[in-house]
Amino acid sequence: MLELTIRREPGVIHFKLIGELDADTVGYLREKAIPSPGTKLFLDLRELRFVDSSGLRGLLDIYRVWEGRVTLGHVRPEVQEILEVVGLAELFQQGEEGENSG
Amino acid sequence: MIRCQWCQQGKCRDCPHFVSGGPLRRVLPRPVPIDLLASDGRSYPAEILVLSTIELGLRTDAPLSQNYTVHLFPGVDLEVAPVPTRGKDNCHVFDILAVRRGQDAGGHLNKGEYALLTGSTGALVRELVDQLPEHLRAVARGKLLAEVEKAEILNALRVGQVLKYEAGRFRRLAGQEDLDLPLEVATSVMRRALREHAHQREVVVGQDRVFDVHGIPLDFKSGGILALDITEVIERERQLHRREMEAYREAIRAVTGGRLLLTSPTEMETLAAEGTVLAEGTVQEAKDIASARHAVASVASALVGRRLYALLLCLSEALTNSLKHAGQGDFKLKAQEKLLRLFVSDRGPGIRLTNLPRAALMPHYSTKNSLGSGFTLMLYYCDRLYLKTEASGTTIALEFDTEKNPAEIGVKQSC
Repeated sequence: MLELTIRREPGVIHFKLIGELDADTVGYLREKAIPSPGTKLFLDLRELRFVDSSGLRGLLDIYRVWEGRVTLGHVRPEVQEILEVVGLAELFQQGEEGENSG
Repeated sequence: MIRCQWCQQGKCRDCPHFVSGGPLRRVLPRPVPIDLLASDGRSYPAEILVLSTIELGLRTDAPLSQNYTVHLFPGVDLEVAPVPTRGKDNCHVFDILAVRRGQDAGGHLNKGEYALLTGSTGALVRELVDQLPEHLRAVARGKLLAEVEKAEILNALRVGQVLKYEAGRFRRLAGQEDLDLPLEVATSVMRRALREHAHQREVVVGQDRVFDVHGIPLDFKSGGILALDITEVIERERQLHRREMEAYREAIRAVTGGRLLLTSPTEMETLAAEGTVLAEGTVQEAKDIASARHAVASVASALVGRRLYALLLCLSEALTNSLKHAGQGDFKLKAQEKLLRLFVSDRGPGIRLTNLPRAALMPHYSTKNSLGSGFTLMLYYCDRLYLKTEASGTTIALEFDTEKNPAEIGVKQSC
C-alpha cells in the first residue's frame, strides 16, 4: 500500500510517500513521477515505513529519468541503512524540505 | 577343456561346454552343411550343430591339425581353427579366427550372418534374456561381458552401448525372486517398444537398485527386455557429486563467515520440522507480498526496530524472487527458543549454484551493477541463510537470533 501526496511549487515537485514501496506499489510511483524539464523532485520519505529492492530499483529509475534532480528528505533510519547497503545513499542528495529546491 | 575328455555323455550338441559364448550360444534347429577347405585344396564335409558369434560346433571327420576356410555365404568367408580339447568323437569346436566380407574383415559373425544361421533373431533375444542369470556367476561374468560386448549382434539391436557399464549386471525379468525391477515399468517399456516398433530405453529406479531397461521389439507381439543393473555406476556418480557439493558448501560457508549454508533436502526437512508455526501463507501476486509482511509483522514480537525491518525485508525479497522465478511462493514463520526462522519455498527451476559465490561475495550492491538481486540483501540482513535448491524447487530458511545483545543489533559488520 502506497499513498502519494503531491504538491507542485515553482521549480520543484514534492512527493510525500506514505506506506510501503515494494514490487506491488513501485509501478504507481513510477507512473506519477514523470519528469518535467527544469523541475526538481523532492521525495519526502518520513512516512515511508518500508522499502525493498524492488522499491529501490524504482527509486534508481526515477533518479535516472530525472537526470539526477532528485532529493530525498526525512529518511527513516531503517530506510537509510538499506540505501547505504545498496549504495544509493551516496547517489541521492538528501535534504530538508525547501533546501535545494530553488 | 579336460571336461570333454572325461565326459561320458557324448551329446556335445546340447552341452554348454561345447561352444562358449554364453547367451549368444545357439543350437541350430537342424544342422547346416558346409565344407571345410584346407590350404592344400582338400575339402572335408561338415555340419554346423551349434554356434556363437565367435565359435562353431561342427560334426566333421576333418583332421584337427590345420586351419580351414569356410564359404559361409556368397561373399562371406570364415577362417576357422580347430580346438581339439573341446568336443568328442566327430564333434569339435572351431574358433572363428576371421570373417571376411569382401574387403571387410572381422573377428566374429555379424548380426545378419548370425541371424541367417540361427533362423530367428527373436529366439536369440529370448534366449539371451532367459539365460543371462545362469552365466553371471562371479567368475564368468567378466569374461562373458567382454565377449558379449564384442558381439555385433548387440550393436545391431542398439543395446551395445549399455554394456559399457562394466560394473552393471544383467538380471532376468521373469521367475527370479530377488529382482526388484518394477515389472509394470518393464511392461510399459515393452509395450511402447512394440507400439512404436522401435527400441525403447528407460532408466528405472527400483526399491534399492537402478536399472537401465531396454525394450527390443521383434515382431508385433513379442520382444525382449534387457535390464542392466547400473546401481553401482549411479552410486559412484552420486558420491562424486556429493563430494563436490561438500567442498562447495564448505567454501561458501567459509567466505560468508558461516552465514550462508547450503543444505541437502533432508537437512532442510529437519530444519523445517523444528519449532512452532507463528504464521504461514502463499503468495501468487505482488500485492500478496504486503499481506505476508503484515501477517509476519503482527506475530514476530520477538524482534523490534531494525531487526523487525530486517525480517520483513528478507521476507519481501524471498517472496519477490519466488514470484519472479516460480510464479508462486509459500512462506512460514517458525519460532524456537532463541530464534525465529522464516521459510520461503517455491517450485521454480532452482538457483544455479555457480551463481551463488558472486551474490555471497559482494557485500554491497552497487548502482553500477543495477542493484543485483535481493539475495545479497537477505544475506546482509539475516543472521544465517540456509539454502536448498534443486530442479524441483528452492527453499530458503532465514534465521534471526532473538536474544542478541541490543548493542550488536544496531550496527552490523558489512562482511
